[in-house]
Amino acid sequence: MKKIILASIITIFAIQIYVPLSIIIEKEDILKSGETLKFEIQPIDPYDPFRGKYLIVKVKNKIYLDDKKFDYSKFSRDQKVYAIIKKEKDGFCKFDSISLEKPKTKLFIKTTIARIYNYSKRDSQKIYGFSNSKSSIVIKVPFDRYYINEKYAKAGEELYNKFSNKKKEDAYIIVKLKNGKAVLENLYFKNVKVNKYIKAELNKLK
Amino acid sequence: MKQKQIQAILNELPLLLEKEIIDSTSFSKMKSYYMSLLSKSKKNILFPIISSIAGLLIGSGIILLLAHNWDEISRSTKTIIAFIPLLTGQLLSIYSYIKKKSLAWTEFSAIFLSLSVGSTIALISQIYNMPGDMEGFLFIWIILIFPVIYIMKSLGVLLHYLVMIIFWAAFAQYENGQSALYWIFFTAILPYFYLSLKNKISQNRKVVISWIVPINFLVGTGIAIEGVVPGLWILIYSLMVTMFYLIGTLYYKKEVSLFHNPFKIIGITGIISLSYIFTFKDVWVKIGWEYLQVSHSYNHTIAYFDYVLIILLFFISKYLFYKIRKTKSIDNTKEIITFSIFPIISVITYLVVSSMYMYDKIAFNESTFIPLIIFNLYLSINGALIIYQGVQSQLLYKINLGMGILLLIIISRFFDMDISFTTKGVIFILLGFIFLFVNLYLSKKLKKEIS
Repeated sequence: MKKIILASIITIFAIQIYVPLSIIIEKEDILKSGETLKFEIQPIDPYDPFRGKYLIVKVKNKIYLDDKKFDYSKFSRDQKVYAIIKKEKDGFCKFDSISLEKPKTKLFIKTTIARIYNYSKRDSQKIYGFSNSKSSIVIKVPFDRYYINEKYAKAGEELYNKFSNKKKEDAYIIVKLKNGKAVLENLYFKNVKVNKYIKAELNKLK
Repeated sequence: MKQKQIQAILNELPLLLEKEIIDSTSFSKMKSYYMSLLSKSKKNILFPIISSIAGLLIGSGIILLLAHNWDEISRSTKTIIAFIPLLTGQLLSIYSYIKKKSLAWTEFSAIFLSLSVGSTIALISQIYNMPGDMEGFLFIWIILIFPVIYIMKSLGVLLHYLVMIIFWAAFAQYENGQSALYWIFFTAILPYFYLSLKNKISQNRKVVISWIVPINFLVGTGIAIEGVVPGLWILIYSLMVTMFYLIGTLYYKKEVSLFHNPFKIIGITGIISLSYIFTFKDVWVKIGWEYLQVSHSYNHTIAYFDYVLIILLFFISKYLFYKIRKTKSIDNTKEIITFSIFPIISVITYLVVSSMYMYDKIAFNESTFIPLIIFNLYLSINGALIIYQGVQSQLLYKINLGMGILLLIIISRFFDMDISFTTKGVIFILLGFIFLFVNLYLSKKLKKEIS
């Protein structure tokens, strides 16, 4: 009986190790062999861009889809969807469309719908006066934070706010993508990794 | 043996020696025996508590230290470091099990393991910049530490688990709009709860487990109820608190101290509190199937858990009631019946008010007037009965409780702006005369008994 219990304990402990290990294996696989994508960062509410020990990273997650061609009634909040990514000529990527079925392209992420802005009905346009508004879908993005050393926090916050309002080449994130799963590899300011950039800036001030 | 009882015996020993009931040799032997029992009893409480706190502090401290971002270290090194607390906790737990270590040691290693599971997952999330999915993080943590409750039989891990499932339910409700899995998480520890009480565990552990389990169910239910049919919480909580009362009456009947009967305390407090809450009009506003929630934030499929819960609570309470009636050693029938009819009154009132809302002709105020009368009456009768029982059994706390209930109703209704002055005046005078007549009747009865 004691041997059975000991075997059960070891099995449970093996599962406890396996679960975090499987996360690591998956993430490492994406980082090593995933497609490299560059996303422009967006300005965020300056009130709290640094929460605790990470920097909030915002990318354009609102997808405008023509309501005359796209059937918004098929979609609802919290619904699981595939967000299709388009690589533009300047090398930057953006979320271009959504699909309920797995797309043929490799550039997609599995995600959920956060919000739907459907102005396709004429009545709602008359009532609310949104006749010029375009319908869109906001998706949840699986890379929304970058963990940073606390001593670089304030500088990171200021630089993020400064660069997110300027040219897209000044600040961007590199994301690795594989099989619909993404990992945020790094945040760059002026083509330099954020930690290095901040260190250099702080050294200049000394 | 409880500490108080041991201390009482020790206090009696000098008196017994003085009255020559025992000799000095017996006195010394008895004193040293009971002193050793007393210190053992203190150790039994003290060491597991101290070691649990130690485990909590060390585990938390390691989490805090490791949470500091080490950007100078490579990702692979960070990953290895992330596993150190988990492996340490597991090794300590295996060692504790194989060497059959003391309760203090077992509690320490179990809590350390429980916290280190969370620290490992949190660190990995940080290393790979994973999104802040609190619900997902807590879910994995709960699943991984759940078996530790059973294999290590740790009270500390049980407490940790129960706290986490509440937080999980709150985050799940906020992020996903539903938290039905809470019921599964809670039910999963019921076998451990049952086995703990069935097997010989210390009185202190029994009391702690008996407090945390019903409180967790009370709070968790409030978060997890979907509420598609408004006011369903009235039925659920009425049945739940009555069930707690019946569990306390049946399974904790040997407990002398009320503190050691948490189910009964929570049950009675719940019944009286809810009865009082039900005397307010706002509780009965727009309840029932006529006001079914249709917005997308209410999940009609998940709502079936609410209905199943009501049916389960009803049948469990019914079973407990009939089992109590068959138990000869339980003789406070009047009290049991008074509290047991509470959910029946709640259900009938709910059905009546909900039916009235179906008819537009019935004005809003008229439909909510009925529960106000019913529950004011129920609470008043309950309060009066408790005073009567207190007088009969000469229990001061019952008399005070009954007086407190009546005072609460009187003050609340006195300041209630929804009832006209005339109505209030008439009712108060009538009640005053009723109490006067009851007082006269009881004093006549008492005089007859004395003569």
